[in-house]
Amino acid sequence: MKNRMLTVFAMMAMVVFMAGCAKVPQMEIDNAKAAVEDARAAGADLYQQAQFGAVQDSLKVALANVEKQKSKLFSRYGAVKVQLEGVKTLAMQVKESTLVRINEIKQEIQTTMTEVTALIEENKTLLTKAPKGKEGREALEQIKTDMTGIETSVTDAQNMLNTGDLLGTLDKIKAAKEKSMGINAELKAAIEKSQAGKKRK
Amino acid sequence: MKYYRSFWIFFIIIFIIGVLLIGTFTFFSYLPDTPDNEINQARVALAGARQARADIYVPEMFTEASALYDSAISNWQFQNEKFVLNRNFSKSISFALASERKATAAKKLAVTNAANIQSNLQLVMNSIEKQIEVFERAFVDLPVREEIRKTYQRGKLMLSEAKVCYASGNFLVCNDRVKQARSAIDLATDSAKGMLDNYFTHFSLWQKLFKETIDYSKSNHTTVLIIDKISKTCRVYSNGVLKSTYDVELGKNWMGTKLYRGDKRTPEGKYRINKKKSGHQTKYYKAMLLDYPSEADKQRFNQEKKKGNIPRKATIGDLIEIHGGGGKGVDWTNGCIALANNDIDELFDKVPEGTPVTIIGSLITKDELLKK
Repeated sequence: MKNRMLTVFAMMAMVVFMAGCAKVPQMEIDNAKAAVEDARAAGADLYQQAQFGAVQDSLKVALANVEKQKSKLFSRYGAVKVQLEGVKTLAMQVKESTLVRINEIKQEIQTTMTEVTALIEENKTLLTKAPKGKEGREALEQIKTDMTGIETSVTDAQNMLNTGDLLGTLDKIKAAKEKSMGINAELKAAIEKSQAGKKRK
Repeated sequence: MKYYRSFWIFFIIIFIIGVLLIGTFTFFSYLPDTPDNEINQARVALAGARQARADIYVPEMFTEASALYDSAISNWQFQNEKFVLNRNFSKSISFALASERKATAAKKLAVTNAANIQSNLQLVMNSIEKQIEVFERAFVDLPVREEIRKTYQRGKLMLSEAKVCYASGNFLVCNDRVKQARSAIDLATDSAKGMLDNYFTHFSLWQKLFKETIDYSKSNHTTVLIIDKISKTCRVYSNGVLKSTYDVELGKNWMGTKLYRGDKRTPEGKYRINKKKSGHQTKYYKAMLLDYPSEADKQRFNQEKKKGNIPRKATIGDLIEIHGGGGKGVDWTNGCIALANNDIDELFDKVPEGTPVTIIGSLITKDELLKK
């Protein structure tokens, strides 16, 4: 009887000792942190700000839970491990979506650049056809200056693209496109008006 | 006897269990409170602040709140390294509480700042638009220097970029572009205004020349021509009364009086028509040669040459005419005054040789011009 009770006590003590000494899931912590850093390095903080913020927040929750378990007399890291795995998976997904977004932006820049270049060429052709009478010539001079500005803007955008500033490039090239479209519409309207005038004569 | 022994064993076991329970209870009641609640609240506040873009609109506050959170965690980690009864989380808790307060304040301020920046941007963009309108109205026809025109152009493009950024909600970049646009447009406007201010310092002289010419026309019952450079018109007065007005085109750099050959400026001052030309005598359909340079022009030329304001080898130039071939809609001559052929036809018949021609900068004041 006495021996049996001593065995039970010893086993309970062992369980308590084992539970109290559960190991911190350092590998999972490192993996989660590395995955978050990977996402950041891919540009998630720039191109997927909201999602990246959520990942950072999840990592904070998991790390706080690690400390919470450490503070306990009987630490249990099972749930925290699952959380850390979740953070890692989420960070990897964010990295993936960042790369997709970057490609989309690059494609948008390329398409817009092609459109702007085509518009500039079209505008140059339209300039030769535009009416050059009184006031027309002055306006055309203005348009020519505008077009030079747009061409400079496209070159600037190309330089920005080379430095990797995708969002800046996109804004610049979009503005150049809008301006080119404005000139295009102005020139077309002037040509149309002058042709209508000729027909009336 | 056996019964008593079992009773004592049972009693001792119960006693030990009781002591253990009391000990465990006492032990746990002495364990310090962990800071997990406070840290969780701080984390939530930080996430809210980040969502409100406090990292952009109030970066210093946000960084401070983040640093306080990190300190709370570090301190927690440090305390966890100690023996369980030696732990003290009060510092960690106070860091976490401070972080939460800072993050909450940062979020509030970020929201206010973002709203202010947004509405302010709209106002500034509108005001730049108005400035561009003024520039277009007042200065676009003036022969402003190439660099002023380019600066103005850059400003317009920057404003377009700012609008794109505003539409995409990128207010900080928008703010940057707006600043660049404002500075470029301000620079262009100031430079153009400076040119105009400088030009209009001669306004009293122009008024005097105009009055003298009109008085002459009245007292001699004759026809005179007034060329108004700013309004680009040739005004025909008979007996001091305005009879007709024609559009003219001038030298490319018409602002300021002509100083030397090749400066592409149209002279200013009192002249007369020396000779009328038509057919093979002129390549501009019909022309009326002026007696440029006058004595005043020669004097000015010599003075400016002495000062070194004009090239050493420059000559004063001649052959300033009122001629046909105009109607191009741009200032293109080397200093002459060009009219459309049908206009020169009319004018040619109205004015004889010897007709006074007064060329001035403007009939209206600078303020009137800018208001127009």
